[in-house]
Amino acid sequence: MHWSNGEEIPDSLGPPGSQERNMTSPRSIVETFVGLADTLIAEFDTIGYLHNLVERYVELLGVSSAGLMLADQRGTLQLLASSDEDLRALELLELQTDQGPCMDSYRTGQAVINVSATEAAERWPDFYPSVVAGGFLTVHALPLRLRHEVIGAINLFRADEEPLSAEAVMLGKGLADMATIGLMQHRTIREQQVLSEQLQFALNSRVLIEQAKGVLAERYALSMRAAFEALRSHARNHGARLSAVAEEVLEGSAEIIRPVG
Amino acid sequence: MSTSRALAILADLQGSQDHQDNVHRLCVACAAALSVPAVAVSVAGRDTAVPSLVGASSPAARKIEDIQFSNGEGPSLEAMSRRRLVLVSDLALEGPPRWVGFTSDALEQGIQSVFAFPLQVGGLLMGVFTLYRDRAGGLSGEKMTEALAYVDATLRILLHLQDGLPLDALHPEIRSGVNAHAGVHQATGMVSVQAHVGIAEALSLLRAAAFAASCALDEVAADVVSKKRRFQPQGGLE
Repeated sequence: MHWSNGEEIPDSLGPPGSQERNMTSPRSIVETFVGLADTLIAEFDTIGYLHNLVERYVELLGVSSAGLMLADQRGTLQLLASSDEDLRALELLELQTDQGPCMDSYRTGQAVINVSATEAAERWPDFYPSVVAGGFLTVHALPLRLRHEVIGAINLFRADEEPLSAEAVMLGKGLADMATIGLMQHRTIREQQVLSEQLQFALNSRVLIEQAKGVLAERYALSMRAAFEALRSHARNHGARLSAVAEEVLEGSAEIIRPVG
Repeated sequence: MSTSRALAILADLQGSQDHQDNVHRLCVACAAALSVPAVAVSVAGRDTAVPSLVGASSPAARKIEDIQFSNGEGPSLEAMSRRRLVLVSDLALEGPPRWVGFTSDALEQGIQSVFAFPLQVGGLLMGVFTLYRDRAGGLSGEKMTEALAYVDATLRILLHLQDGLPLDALHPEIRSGVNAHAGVHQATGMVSVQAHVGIAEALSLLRAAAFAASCALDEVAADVVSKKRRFQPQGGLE
């Protein structure tokens, strides 16, 4: 097994999920946080990043599996990354039944940690039996949250009943916080790009339309108002955007019928 | 970090999409914060040759920004076309070789240094933010940091105003600035037909006429639109 920089893990750290793993090993935390900083660039592979994140949870917290859900624009949680395929089905069930630690965590913005099997069966009667059938015994969840905004949650599954230590919970929350900031930054950057494109487009359009009015006014001896009306009717009749018609006028390719009267 | 400072600036501004003077008030706030006599914000589409003023800290600021526009040259225009900061700490010294017309007009207005910041997101340029000062000298590190926060805040306002609008549409606050120069664009279209030239050349003809008559570009444009002036195919005035 290799870290992404090509070096091998020292044997003393053991395989993933092992209780002997030193979860606070400097390299793994630094690497995780450095990876999270990548979200600040716009050309950024969200899915790849999320997959890395859930794998980090498995490695660093010693859980069996982890899954990540993010809310879409309508606030509906979507399963975006799972550390293994078997877990996928289980998490999808969580979404379907609308029950489970992830759902609770997302709704309340609180961590759902160390819930006993008995309580889990009571809290999530439609979901928990499948958890057990899937070979897991405990489930936890951490919210992806920044102040008042909760953008998703992380599911953590264990095959045993070992509680998560306070240290593990803190680490988990730290990872979640960094991920949330990164994801929100990325979302903001994307939104800014989209709005910038729209603003630039609208500014261009306005110039083109005014220039086209001038061309038509001169060519057909029209008032600016009549020229604008000619552009508008042509756009309407051809189901085209006003700025597109303006561009055609400037290129000389539009056949604008001179209005009568 | 400029983001948190930019957000603080916006919070102090307490603007909203219903207001139509958000950018103006930001310019005023910036002029006060940096102790400079003039701050102006202009937007431009792909053709940065004819930007539109959307905010100015004072009538004087508006006038100086207009000088660039009329001359068709200047630090702000260059900042947009080159997409880089243009920092002119001594206009009398650095101005003449680069922007002859603008320099003499600006010096006449008492401007001695100019700092222009392109307003861009990634590769997309939307306009320019310019500080004009009445003394020579560079911006201190502290003032530069603060200026950058205002640039950030300006971008956020512009994008916020655009948010939720249909494609092609501009927020009234932006649109009114753009409409102010509608005459120039209309005249450009008219001249391109009159003189049988392309749009860019038509604008050059208008500028040349403004220069020859020592009047503003807007004035010549208005004369063309009102049919007081025409252009010939050879490029001369009729």
